[in-house]
Amino acid sequence: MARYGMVIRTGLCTGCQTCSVACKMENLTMPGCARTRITERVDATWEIAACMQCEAPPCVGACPVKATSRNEKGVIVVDQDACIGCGKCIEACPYDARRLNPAKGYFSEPLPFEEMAKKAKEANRRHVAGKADKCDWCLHRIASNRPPMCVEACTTGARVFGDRDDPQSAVSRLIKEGAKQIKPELGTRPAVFYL
Amino acid sequence: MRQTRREFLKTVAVAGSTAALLDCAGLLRRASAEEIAEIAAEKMGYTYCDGCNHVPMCGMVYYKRGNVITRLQTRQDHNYPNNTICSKGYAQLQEQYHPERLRYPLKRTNPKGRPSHWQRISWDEAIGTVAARLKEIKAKYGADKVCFFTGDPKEMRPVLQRLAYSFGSPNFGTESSTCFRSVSLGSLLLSGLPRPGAGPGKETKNCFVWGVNQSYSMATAMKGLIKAKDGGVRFFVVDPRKTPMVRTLNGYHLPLRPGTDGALAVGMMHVVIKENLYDKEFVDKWVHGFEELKSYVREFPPERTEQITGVPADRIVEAARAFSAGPSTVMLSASPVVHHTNGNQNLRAVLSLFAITGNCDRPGGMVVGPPPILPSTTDGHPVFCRRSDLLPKLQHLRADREYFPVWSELVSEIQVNRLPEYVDAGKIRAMVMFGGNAKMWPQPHLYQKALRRMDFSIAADYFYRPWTHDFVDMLLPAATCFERLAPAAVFGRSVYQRQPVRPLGEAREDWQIIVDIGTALGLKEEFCNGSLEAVINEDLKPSGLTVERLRNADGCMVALPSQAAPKTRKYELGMLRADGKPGFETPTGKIEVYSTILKKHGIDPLPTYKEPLESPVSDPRLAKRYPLVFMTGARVPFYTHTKWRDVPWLSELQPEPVVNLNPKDAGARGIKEGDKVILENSHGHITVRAHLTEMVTAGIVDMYHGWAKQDVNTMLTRDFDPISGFPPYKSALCNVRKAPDNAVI
Repeated sequence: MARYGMVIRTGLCTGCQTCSVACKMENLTMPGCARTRITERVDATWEIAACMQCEAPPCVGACPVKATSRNEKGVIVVDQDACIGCGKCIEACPYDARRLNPAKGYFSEPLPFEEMAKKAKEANRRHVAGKADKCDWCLHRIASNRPPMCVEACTTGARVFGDRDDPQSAVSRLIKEGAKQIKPELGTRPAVFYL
Repeated sequence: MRQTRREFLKTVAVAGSTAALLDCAGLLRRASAEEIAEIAAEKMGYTYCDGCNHVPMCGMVYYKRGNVITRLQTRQDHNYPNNTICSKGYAQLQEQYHPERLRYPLKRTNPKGRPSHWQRISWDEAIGTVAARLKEIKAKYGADKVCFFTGDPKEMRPVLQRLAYSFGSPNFGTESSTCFRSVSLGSLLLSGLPRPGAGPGKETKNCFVWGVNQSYSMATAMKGLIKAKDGGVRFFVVDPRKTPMVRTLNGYHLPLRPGTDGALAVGMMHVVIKENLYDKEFVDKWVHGFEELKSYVREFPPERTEQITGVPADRIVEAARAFSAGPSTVMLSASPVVHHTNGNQNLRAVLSLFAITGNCDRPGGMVVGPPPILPSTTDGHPVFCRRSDLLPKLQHLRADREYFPVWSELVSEIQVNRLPEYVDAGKIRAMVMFGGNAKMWPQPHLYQKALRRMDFSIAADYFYRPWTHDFVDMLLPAATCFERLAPAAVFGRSVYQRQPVRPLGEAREDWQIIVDIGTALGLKEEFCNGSLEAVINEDLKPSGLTVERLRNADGCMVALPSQAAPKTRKYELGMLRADGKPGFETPTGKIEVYSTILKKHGIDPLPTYKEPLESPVSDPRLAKRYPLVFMTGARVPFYTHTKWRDVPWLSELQPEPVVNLNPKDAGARGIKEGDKVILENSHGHITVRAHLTEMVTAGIVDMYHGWAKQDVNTMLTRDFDPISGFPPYKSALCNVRKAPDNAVI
């Protein structure tokens, strides 16, 4: 079983926002629920926010009904049917990576492709109002060995995804080169590294 | 997945037994049965992206269930150096099904100039009315009184030229008369080549990124540039802003004051000539007017150039030496260098630097591409467009002739920027407009008034845009890039055909609308009696391809015959002139740093530097009140001009107009991040949000354009460049101050 990891080479990020919009398109997340957010700092570098898919995730422990868990691939997932929308996981996340799905979509009526996603039961595009939403590294894609959408879409190749247990993989190499976790002192052991 | 449609079909047929796919790490592997089943549930089709303005035309794959498009993906076998679409590409899914998309032809029932009352009409009535009114105007005043205009996209340009010239009007114009055509014109004047500049090639040592930020304007090109950097190309970035190009490409930054590109280039030529670094052999043989240039550049030693441009003298010297040291190339975008009152001369200065260092059409320098078999839709084929046979007979009827003599001699489309004057003078009385925007010029109210005053005008668009459409008589629903067949997607020597889905409502593709108008006007032969496919076949004629042939290829790339190995130094081989003689397609047959055409028109033949009309140097008194240099028009990554503001996936990234300020300038004015501020100058003022960033140099204010209410164009003047007719979008003066809390954005 692969132990997935992501490295974001911040020096290559141009702030083009393709990752965040491609994620929107792929997963049809609700308004206000961008799973990765790129914001410009005053020194014209980019802050790249995303779920860290922690190995010791505070959100999992915070959930009173065990609706959020770390799955066998090491990805933190939410069972929307079990979620009670209490928001405890959102408070617990030190990386601001979670949101509650709002009641309303982008338009007053669902658009045809949203209807179609429902009909075709596309699980990654199902978002229940009032339930927690977060990045799942595009489980539906990695299941068929395609990289998460943000990785495929990145216009500069700044995002690299792969198996941390494979010493030959690009992520392992970049971690060896010095890619760092954010807030390591919290002991959350993120699976996302920044270089 | 890196596979063509054919391979994909094969993949499905063999159902996982031998199918090969690329995995995350780029390694070949077998496709799982589940994966194939998942993909097979949806059908795929090809189109190309509509997100920018049809350059670079990125290839796109869509998936659909029934007639509904469900997902978008990059076309991975696309001809571009890397295979990616950007945020605008992905967001098209939301635009495609936007509830406010126009679905039916509409005619106005109230007077122009007020919020429109529209009445739905049939296509028969719409096309019939357009034909009747155009015929009437032609009979009464002459065909030339009708202006045919395209904005965004560019796809319908070839067929609209065919309509204009067949109808008898030379007055075909486009948004390129504020965009690419000035660069093209400057290059034509200098070397006779319509397109200057190129990205880095294999032998390139230095690449000058001159006023272009592709990380925002063409994000899809970045992987190629990063690869070039990793391969050893040294990048120099000439830009008032420290754009992501500087960091990502490890670029040597030359941060100049907007509008001083010409001074910088002349200053660099000073170093090149003084230090004897120019290509003497090339100059002796192929450059006209070098002695005059040499004596002119003496006035620009590095210290003085630093004073003018703000670029440190040592940086100017270093860049000049690098430029002449190895094969160097210049990447220029359509606009920033030329969006000034002296823009075209500034551009000619940049290109002259290029010429005297011998970088013209040499390996690793500015390589001139082979003549296309099928030109891009930006130009269209001269035969199909009827530029070669009909336009020459109509030239004397051009509306822009007396206003822009250099332009009208060298550029086939008219310079539209004096539309209000053309209408006032009775030269234009009607307009047939596709994707046009009345607010793209400084002082936009004049253009709205011009539209309103016309006897008849129509627009085709995806959406009702009040700032333009409240001034036209009829509004037609255009089909999107997922719904259009024409024109073929041409990428150099590869061609494919889109596979359209059924349009929403009665939306119709631009080409078909134009073919229908042409047919209704009685131009049955030119427009194949209304058959779109027959007209596309006419367009494809030089390639020998047909719609049928492309359809059979099922969206796959069809290769046109490749020519012999590409050559460089084509000027020595007689490959750049129509008469086949060695040299360049200019009156002297040489690169004219001293332009004989400009001289004929009484304009300074040397690429002389003049201060922008409105600058701290040319108007110090005004600069006391408005000490900041105001530049606009530079792209953000997720909007294209006025487009995309109503597509939430993009507009949520920047829902309000934002002005970029250097923290020093903001601090001096007590402005904090996110404050409401008033941006003002002697022409107008707007209320916007402040964003603090060191990307802009202190003293410069950068504001993205295209906001309907807080419109930067109200703060700009119509002081057009005398050569190109371009407006000064990037060198006004302004100031900024905190807005009262109750100010409305």
